[in-house]
Amino acid sequence: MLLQPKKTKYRKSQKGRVRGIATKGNSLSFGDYGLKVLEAGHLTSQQIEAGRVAIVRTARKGVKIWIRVFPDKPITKRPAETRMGKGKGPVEGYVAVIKPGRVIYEISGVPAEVAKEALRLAASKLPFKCKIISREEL
Amino acid sequence: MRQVTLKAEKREKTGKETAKKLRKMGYIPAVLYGKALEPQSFAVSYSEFEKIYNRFKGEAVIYTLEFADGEGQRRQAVLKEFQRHPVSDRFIHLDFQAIEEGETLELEVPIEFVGKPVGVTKGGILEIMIHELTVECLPKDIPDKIVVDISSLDIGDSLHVRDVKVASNIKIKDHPEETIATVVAEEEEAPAAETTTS
Repeated sequence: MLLQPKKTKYRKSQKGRVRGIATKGNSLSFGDYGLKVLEAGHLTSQQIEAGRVAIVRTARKGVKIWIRVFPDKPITKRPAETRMGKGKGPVEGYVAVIKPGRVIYEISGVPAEVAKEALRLAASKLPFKCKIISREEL
Repeated sequence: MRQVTLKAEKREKTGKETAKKLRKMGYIPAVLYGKALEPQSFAVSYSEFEKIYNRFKGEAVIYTLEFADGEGQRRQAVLKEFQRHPVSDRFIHLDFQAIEEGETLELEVPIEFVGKPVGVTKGGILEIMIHELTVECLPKDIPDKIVVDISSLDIGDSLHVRDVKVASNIKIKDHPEETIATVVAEEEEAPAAETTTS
């Protein structure tokens, strides 16, 4: 199931810009290993799911995953071959606004090599440069 | 409990401009405070502190701060808190609390989990909620770590703060009902293949 809000106060939102660095959600809170983003941008629900699937497939049994971001910002897109005007396009999906330093996934319950490999594969599904952080190294 | 010496350089100026300059020069801005002490700003060498921090990670350390300002003032302190840069994870600020003889102090001590829970061998997942306990004790009684045996935890069992046994001269400040670790049954993960996009 893709992540998306159950209900929203407003259907569409303005685009906005991603400025600054993550002041919240920038350290490990639950798991032993985590994936930290080093760039700013938007993360779609599909990308979050793809990363989660990569972790589940690699780590297999015994892994506990925490997804530390939620895609709550609606993104609109104009239908193909439409003339300009006639209002803002329909909502195409939801994204999470990501600032550098944000931890996206945390995992625990698997050995270090497995955890690092799982997070490396998850990082390759994301549109950002990432680094793997661990409780022992911090 | 480890005792290490750390060279400290007093600084008169405060504020982010000074702090930035210090960091560029390879120092970490720091502050020392205590009950009968005016807060004192100083800086420590990044490489020296990092070496000590990495060497004694997971242990309680008492720092002897040696102020290099002619008077040769020495002060014993514990590292109360540190701040790291959100992206680079480098230290950006340190808080030291001065140790007063005969006065108790409150600090966080790491928990070491020993044993493999019974529940994990049955296919459960060990979930650790707290990695550190807040304790109050005299400086001479500061434990390196608190060892907790989790081998008896079955699926569905939890270990709470009230279950932790420590020496009588150490007082745990965390709420007794707080959960430290639990063994949960493995969730049925949403199978990998059916990620559909509409």
